[in-house]
Amino acid sequence: MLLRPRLEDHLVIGKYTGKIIIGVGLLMVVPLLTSVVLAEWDTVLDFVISVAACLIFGFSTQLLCRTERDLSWSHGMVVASGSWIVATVLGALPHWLSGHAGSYLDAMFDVMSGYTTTGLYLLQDLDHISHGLNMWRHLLTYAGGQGIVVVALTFLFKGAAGAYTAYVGEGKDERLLPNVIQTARAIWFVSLTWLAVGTAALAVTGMVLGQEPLRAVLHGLWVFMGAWSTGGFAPQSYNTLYYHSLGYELVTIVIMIAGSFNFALHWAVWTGNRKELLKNVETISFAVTLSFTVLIATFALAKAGVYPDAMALFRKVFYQLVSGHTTTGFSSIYVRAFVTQWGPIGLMATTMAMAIGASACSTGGGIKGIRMGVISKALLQDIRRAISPERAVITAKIHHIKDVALGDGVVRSAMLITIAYLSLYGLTAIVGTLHGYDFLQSAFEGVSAASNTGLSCGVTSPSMPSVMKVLYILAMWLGRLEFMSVFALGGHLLSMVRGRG
Amino acid sequence: MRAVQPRERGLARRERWPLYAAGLLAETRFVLALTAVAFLMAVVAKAVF
Repeated sequence: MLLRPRLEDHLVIGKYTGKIIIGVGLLMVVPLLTSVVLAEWDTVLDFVISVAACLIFGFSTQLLCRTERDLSWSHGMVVASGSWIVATVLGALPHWLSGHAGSYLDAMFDVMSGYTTTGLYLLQDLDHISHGLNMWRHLLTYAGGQGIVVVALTFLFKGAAGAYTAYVGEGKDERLLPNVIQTARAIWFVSLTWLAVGTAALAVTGMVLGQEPLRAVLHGLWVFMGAWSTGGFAPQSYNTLYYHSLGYELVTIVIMIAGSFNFALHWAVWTGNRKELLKNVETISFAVTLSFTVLIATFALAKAGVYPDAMALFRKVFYQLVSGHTTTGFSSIYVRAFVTQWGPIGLMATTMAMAIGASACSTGGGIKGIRMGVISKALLQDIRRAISPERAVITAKIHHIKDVALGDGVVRSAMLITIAYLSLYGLTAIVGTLHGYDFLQSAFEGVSAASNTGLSCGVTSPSMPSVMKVLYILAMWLGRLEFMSVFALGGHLLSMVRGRG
Repeated sequence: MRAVQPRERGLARRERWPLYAAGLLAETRFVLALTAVAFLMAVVAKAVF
C-alpha cells in the first residue's frame, strides 16, 4: 500500500535538494572567475545570471522548507535522483545563454551528459566556445564523476546522519572511512591529488607539442577532468584526436583507467595494500574483459588491413577500447570511422566493452566489473555443484578489499541490476532503430548513453529526433544512478497521486 | 606553556605522502602492464595478417 507523503516529507526533500543546488551555484563561480580573468564579458554575464538562479532556488527552498528532520532512507533516494534533474535544468542556463545550444533541451542534454560523465554533446561550434563555458563543461564532469551529492556532502552537509542515504542513492555504497562525510572527503582527496599530477603531466606534454603555456595548462586541466571523471568531454571537436600525440594518448590512458577504479580500491592501494590491485575482483574482471575485447578488435582490424602497422593498430584499438571500457568516451579516430573503418566486429567489441563498463563506486558507468565478477563466480559455482557429488558443499567467494562470501542475495542483486542495464540498452537500441538508424549503430549509441560512455558513431547530433534526445537524457540519468534511486523518485511521485493519506 | 599544534591534519598529513605516492605509482604500473599486453597483441595480429 502506498502512503501519501506528508508535508514534513516534502520539506525535508526540498531542504536537502536546495542545499545541493546551492552547491551547483557555488561550483559555477569557478567558470565565472575564469571568464573574468580572461575578460569574456558576455560569458561573465551568463554565469552571473546562472549563479543567481541557483542561489535563489537554493536559499528559497531553505527558507520555505525549514525542518529539523533528518533524511530517511527513501528521502535520501528521492533527493539524490531529484536533485540531478533540478541541477540539470538550472545547470543548463550557461549553455543556453551562450547561444551554442540549439534549444534548451539540447543544453539540458549536454549538462546531463556532463553530470553523468557520459560525454555525448549537442553543443554547436565547440571549437569556438568561451574558456568559461569550457571550464563549466569540464567541471560538470569532474564534479559529476565524484557525484554532486558527494560535492554537497563534502562542503555543505555537516554531520547529517541521513546523508549516507543520499550518498548511496547516487550509486555509491562504499565507506572508505567510518564516517560518510569523511568518505566523501577521502574521495575528493584522491581526485584532487590525481588532478594535480595528471594536469601537470598533460600540460607538460602539451607544451612539448608546441602549445602556449596558458593553453597547455587549460587543455591539460580540461582533458584531465574528462579522463579522470570518465566523462569524455574535450575542448576541441576532434576530441583527443586533435593532439595527434602518442604521449598525450598514453597519459590519458593512465588517467582513464585510474579514474575507472573503485574509490575503495584507490584508498586501499594508497594506504599500503598495493597487492589489492592484483587480487581485487574488479581489476581482474577489467583486465580480462578489456584484453578480450581488445583481442577481438585488434585481430578484426588487422585482418581488414585498416591500419598500416602494429603501432597504428595498437594506438587506435587500445585507445578506443580503453575509452569505451572505462566509459570515458575519448576518441582518437573520426566519429564515422567506427562505421566506415571498424565495421561490425569493431563496433560490437566496443559496444561490449562499453556495456560492461567500469568499477562500482567509481566515476564510471555500465554494468560494472564487480557484477561481472559476481555473476561469473556464481556461474562457475553452479557448474561445480552440478559436477560434484550430491553431498559436497560448494562455496564461493569474491575478493573486494576483503573476502566476501558469495551468497544468493549478492548474486540476485548483481543479476537484477545487470538485467535492468541490459533492458535499458535494448530499449535505446530499439527506439533508435524505429527512428530509422541502423540497428548496430543505434545499439552502439544507446549503450554509449546508458553506460555513460559518450563514444559516438554519428547518431548523436543536434538534428537527432527530440524523442531520442529525451530518451538518452533519461538513459544517462538511470545508468549513472543505477536505477534504484530513480525508481524511488518514481514511487514518491506515484504516492503523491495515488497514495492513501 | 601550550603545546604547539601540528599544522597539517587529517588526510593530508605529511608522513602519509610517501605511501600515497607509492599507491599512485602502483596504479600507473598496473595500467602500463595492460598497455604492454595490448601492444603485444597488435604485433602478433600484424604478424599473422
